[in-house]
Amino acid sequence: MSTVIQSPEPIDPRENSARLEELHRIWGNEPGIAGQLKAVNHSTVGMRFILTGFAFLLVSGVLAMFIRLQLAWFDVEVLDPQRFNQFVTMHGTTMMFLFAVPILEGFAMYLLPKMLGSRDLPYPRLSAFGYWCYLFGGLFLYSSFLFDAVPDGGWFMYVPLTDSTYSPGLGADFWLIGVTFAEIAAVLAAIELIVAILICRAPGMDLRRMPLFAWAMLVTAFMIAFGFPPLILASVLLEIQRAFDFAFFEVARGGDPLLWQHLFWLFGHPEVYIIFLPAAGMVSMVIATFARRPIVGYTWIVLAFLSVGFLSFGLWVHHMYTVGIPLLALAFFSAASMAVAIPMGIQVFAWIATLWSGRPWMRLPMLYLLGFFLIFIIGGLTGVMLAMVPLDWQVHDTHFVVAHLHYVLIGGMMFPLFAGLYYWLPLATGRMPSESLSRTAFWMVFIGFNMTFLPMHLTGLLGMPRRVYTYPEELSVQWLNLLSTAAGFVMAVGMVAIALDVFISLRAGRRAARNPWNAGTLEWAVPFPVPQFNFASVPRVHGRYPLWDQPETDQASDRADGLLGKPGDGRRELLGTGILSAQPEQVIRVSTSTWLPLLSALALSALLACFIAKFYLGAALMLVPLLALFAAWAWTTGHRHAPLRLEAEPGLMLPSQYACRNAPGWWALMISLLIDGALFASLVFAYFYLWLGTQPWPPEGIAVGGWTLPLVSLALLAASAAAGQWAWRALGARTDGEGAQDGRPGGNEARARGGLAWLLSAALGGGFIAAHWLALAGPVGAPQVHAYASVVWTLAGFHMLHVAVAALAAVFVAARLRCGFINAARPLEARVTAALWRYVVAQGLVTWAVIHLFPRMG
Amino acid sequence: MLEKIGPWRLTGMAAPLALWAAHFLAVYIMQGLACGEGWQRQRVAGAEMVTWWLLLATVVALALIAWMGAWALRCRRRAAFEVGASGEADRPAALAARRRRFLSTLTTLVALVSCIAVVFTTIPILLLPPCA
Repeated sequence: MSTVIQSPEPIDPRENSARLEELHRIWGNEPGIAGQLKAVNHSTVGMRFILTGFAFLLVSGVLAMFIRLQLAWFDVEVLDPQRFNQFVTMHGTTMMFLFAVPILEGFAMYLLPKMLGSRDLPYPRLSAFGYWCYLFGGLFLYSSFLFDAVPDGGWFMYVPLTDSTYSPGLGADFWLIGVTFAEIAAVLAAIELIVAILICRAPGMDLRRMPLFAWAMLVTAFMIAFGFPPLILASVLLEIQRAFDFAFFEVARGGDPLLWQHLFWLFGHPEVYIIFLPAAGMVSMVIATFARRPIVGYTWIVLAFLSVGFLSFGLWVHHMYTVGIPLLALAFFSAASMAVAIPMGIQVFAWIATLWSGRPWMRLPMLYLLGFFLIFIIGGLTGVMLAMVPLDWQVHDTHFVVAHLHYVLIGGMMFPLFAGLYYWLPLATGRMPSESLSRTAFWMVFIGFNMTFLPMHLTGLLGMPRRVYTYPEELSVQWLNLLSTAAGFVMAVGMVAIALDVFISLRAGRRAARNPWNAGTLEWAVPFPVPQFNFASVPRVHGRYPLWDQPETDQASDRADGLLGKPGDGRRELLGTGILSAQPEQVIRVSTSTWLPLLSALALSALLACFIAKFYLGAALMLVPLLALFAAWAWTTGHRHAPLRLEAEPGLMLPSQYACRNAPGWWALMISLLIDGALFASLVFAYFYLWLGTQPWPPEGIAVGGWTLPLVSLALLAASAAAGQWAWRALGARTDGEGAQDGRPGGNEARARGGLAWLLSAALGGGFIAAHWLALAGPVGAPQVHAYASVVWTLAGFHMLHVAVAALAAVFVAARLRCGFINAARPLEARVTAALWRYVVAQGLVTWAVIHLFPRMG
Repeated sequence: MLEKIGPWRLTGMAAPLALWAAHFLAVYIMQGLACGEGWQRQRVAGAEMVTWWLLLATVVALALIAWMGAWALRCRRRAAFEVGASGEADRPAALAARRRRFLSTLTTLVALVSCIAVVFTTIPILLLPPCA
């Protein structure tokens, strides 16, 4: 089904080069350091994530070497016990939060637009902001070394060890605040990637032609959306408990330390698959190229990704087999842990079948894939062993688990990552890696890894505990440990050799020809060096492997005569396409370089620094610049005079995003609300979990109070909802895309009426906050008294915060209406705010029922 | 309403697995309530009442997943017929038919995996007392 791409008439070469020059000007980063700090382009930001991730990998690797030195023999003292705990904590935390997740997101940010045939991601400022949050969060965590307050409670931070009684210093605070700060990046990237994959694909790339890496990232991003909120919530609750003496996890005041474990592992187990799935996506890309044939079982692999994405959420309690949960509940999780092996097996067989039926080309990335197969399958099998409750009881907290998790994570994530690194290196640098040094490095890492971790299965079975700085001589495991340590250093040298190899190839590598591996997917259609806009014309796709199906795709996308080839009045433009069909739907105008992401992240760091220093007034004051920056950000999002219809190519007029139903702003809201909904659901879960362990509910000494104030607050909430709905109706918006055609500006009177209605809804929202506060202040009392009061106040506060945000958004919309940014034909911002308001009201109804109805039912 | 979860859409494709998740949560919560609050612990017909509730949840989940799978299979047959009729042309209608075939195949397989996963979860209910 090869189709020859023909331009209607060849473009004049002078016109072509003028357009290319203009595209370079529009898309290029500004010169100098300031230009770098302001950059928002996906290639720049993605590359930063990757480089920073590798830097954290090296730092964390050094910590691991110290840990191995300490364990080399039973009676050495390289690190004292406290230092050992700190290094173990920082090693695990860094690898999980600062290396694995961010680097994979960096790869996705860098590669996905190229793979999907897009020029950029839909929210460039958001990804830049995410990067700064990640960097500052990581630095925040490591700054604890300067204050001699390094977290030492383990990467899982179990309470009560980490509460203020048993960890009185600032260590746990550095962990909770630093990691949550860095997680903002993960959550923002999830929004960015979901929307990019859904609406920014090249025309013709419908769902069944989407590269498997995109499928993997789509599933991963949804997993982040559901998996990270429980941990964010747990961290916030623990930090509130530490800072303000709330009682969520404290048994004496009705709290429950197991709540922490549930919330942590509700994140922690999906996290393993959040790390693995992008790597599986990479494997699927690399393996097709080096087997020199299309992937076998595309549908089956998508099935596997999707099933893993869901089933991995049913595994969290298998980290908690020994905490005293009834046997039947354990069996549910044991069953789910075994069920997840089915999709995992499906994808492995599909990959093997691809190799089997292709003509494998044994280049370096392929070598890493073979390493991946061997190591990951062993890790997967020990995982099935650990899913069995009786075996887990035996080896829980021993080095057997350490061996298993490193086989899974290094085998399942790091080997594919290195395969991907070498595979896409020519794309980023325009040079080939050296085959000799890189092969040596591979063998050092491969042999070093296996010699380090294979013996740990044995030391663990013999009873060597994990997370402890020593072990008894009687276990007779010192020789095995010495072997692990020695091999660990071989692996470390291999890692340094990889870094060296990449550096040398940058300097002296052979220049890569275009598409050097003869791959089939779109990221290889770009010229070297890769322009910031990727494609001069957005390519049209007619198959799963565009470069194999139509080899002329790369030449066609180099010429500026196709889709979006003609630069539109100096703005960065992307093509938006339909979710299922990938037919052109809209032209999306995105932001250019700006200081806003960096400044916002700096303001946020200042706020968090004040908080950790217990300078709460300063933290509250820092809200002013932060909100001002966010307001400036929101204000500069739309262009008042942007035409409602733009010419995407001769003869194809498309609406701009302000007038399109599938606008990126709309989808950003939907995905954000999904994430927020998961956060809210986790909090409601916490409420009922605490209820389960407390009799009576509310406890003695706390009343439920009368009906009057709760009903007044409910009435105010309903009134604000009605006002919001009225405000939205008053605009007379056209969301069917037709508004773009008639270009109706919307009457001044309607806009004024709408503005007033928005202000009214904001005022009623403010009234609700005050009324609900009063309704709780009397009967519930101080939140420190009991876990019941803590969780009720947190739930109510969580919702009040949402009402406040929605009220601010309503004021914003009123101002935008007044200034003519919003009208009937350009309703996007009002539509988004109206939907936000509906969500907040729905959340309020649930909150109200939980707080005021549930305790009265018993 | 049903349009939105049709097996030719992303939401429809994920729906059987969402049902697995709902079933998983339901049995976990019911079991937790039984052991924590003593809910439905009386013995009826040789087993505790809560066990019967868990099995009922399983039957409902399996029935719903099977219905979705059957729906997806019907869609797949129809789409396969349309693909055959439209040939290899790159027209939007032919592309749409092939996309529907792909998505409904996927939904059928997802329903199958979901069924297996629900059955996996149920086996311990048959073997163990609720609060041992």
